[in-house]
Amino acid sequence: MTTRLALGQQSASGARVLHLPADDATLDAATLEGYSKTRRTQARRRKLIRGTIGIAGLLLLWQAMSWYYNLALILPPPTVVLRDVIETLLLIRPQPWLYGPSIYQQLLASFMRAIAGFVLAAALAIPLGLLVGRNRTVREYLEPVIRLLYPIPGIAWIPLAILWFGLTDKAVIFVVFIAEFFAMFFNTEAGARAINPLLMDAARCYGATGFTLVRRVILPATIPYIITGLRIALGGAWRMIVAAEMLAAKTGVGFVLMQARYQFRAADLMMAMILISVVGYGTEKLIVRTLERKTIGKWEISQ
Amino acid sequence: MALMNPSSVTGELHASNVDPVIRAVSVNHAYESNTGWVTALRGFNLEIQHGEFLCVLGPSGCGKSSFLRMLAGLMFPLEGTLLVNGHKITGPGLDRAIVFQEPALFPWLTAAENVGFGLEMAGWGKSAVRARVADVLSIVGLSEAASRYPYQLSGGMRQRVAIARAWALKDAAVLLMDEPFAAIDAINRVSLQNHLVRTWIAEPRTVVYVTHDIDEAVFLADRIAIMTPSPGRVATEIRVDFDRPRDRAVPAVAMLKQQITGIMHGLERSA
Repeated sequence: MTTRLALGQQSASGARVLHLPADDATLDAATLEGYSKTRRTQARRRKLIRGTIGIAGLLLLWQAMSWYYNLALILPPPTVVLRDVIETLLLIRPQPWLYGPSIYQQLLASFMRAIAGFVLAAALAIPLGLLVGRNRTVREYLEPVIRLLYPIPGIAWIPLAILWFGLTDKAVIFVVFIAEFFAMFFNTEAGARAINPLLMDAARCYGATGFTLVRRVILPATIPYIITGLRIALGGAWRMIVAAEMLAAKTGVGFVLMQARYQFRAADLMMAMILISVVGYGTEKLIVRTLERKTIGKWEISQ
Repeated sequence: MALMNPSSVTGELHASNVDPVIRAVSVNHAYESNTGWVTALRGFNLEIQHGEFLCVLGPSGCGKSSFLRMLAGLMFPLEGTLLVNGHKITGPGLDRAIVFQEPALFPWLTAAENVGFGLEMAGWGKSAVRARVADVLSIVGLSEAASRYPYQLSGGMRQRVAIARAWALKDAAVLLMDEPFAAIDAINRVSLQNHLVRTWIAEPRTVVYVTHDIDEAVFLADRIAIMTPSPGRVATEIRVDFDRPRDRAVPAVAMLKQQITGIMHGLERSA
């Protein structure tokens, strides 16, 4: 009972009494900071425990399925796959590496292509989104074109990309570019349209026009939406890279994945999938969160 | 204070002065709504002299905010003439500084950066902007809040930053204020009005202040232009000669308020 009542005390008779602070012991800043720190720590610990239990549950289910249905060949158990991941990363695999350059070079190749496609898409989609969102003339010219291109999935562009660029980096980058353009474009456009009209009035009354208006007002006002677009597109770029590399590349994680299937090595296949997950998760965390902290975190605005 | 008819104002107040800062002649305005055209202003005439604090007082929907937005260059009258220093208004410009009903501060700029925004746009140098911003922030009593972002300020402080942003534009011919304290609770409103008067005393400017609040108009204005209910025009003008800062409890002030209330009720009935 005493441990449950962090702020209480137990009287000699055993009855619970609330600890009443002396007059000078008010809720000062340091005490309150202590409380919020405790709360943050507790929340972090709770999330960690529950998240771990979730992941452990999945691994357990996986292990059980593999063992119960005797699927070691097509569904190797997590113990085998995780050992494969570690051995591959430490470059101490007992089995031969049948997929060309080392895993790090493959990951790097995929990563560079994904980033290249992503950056190209952002460089076009963000200015265009701002323009279409704020300028009626541009909007009326471009909207039908963009709306008609949007339903074509990224993977549908792969054959055409191979036709144009061959089995090269360019083909993969092009596919990522096309596929991720829309997430950033539509978010930016929605954000540019949603700017509080009063802020635009204030900006114009205080002399902002043309490019200055875009740089000083429209762009920062749209940042929360742009970040949402970036996050979706960054995840999408990494997912699209695998699809594109499976068909249109001779290196990269997508290529490793496809080769592992040809070699009938399910453990390597799943090892590649786990690395895709880890790299994707880490990238999102690093790039988007940093950007968020530097902008909307500082201004306390959100979508 | 004296009741007077609009045409006599110019001569009496500023016999030596040349042109009014603002001149509105026969302004008519109407807008299209779902149910058809709505007349907002009809036969609106008004002149504002240099250095004058003018309150445009009228009931909700009389078109007083439309008039202010027209002065700001954010909308245009269908008919009639609107001149600032003798020039037709063709759009927003730094010769007019505006305070809206909401602060309309840029959330990504600090208080000081917000206040300096217009000066920067006017092409002032960095150090000149910094000096002017410091001056204005100290006039409105917010020097300590200079580096805070809008979300770190209370509603009243935000509106004072918005006022400082307008005041900072030293070269503006006129400050336009569109019911700046209407969205603020009664207690804070009084203290913001006191702040505004102190600011005006520290650095007098030509002000057009739109409000529906009689107390506020009597507390702030040199002259009150009372508007008719929609479609709006200036029905009568009242000069307020009390010294500033004014005492809200003085009997003469109460009498003036009563007089204005009577006029507005009369206009309401005959509308």
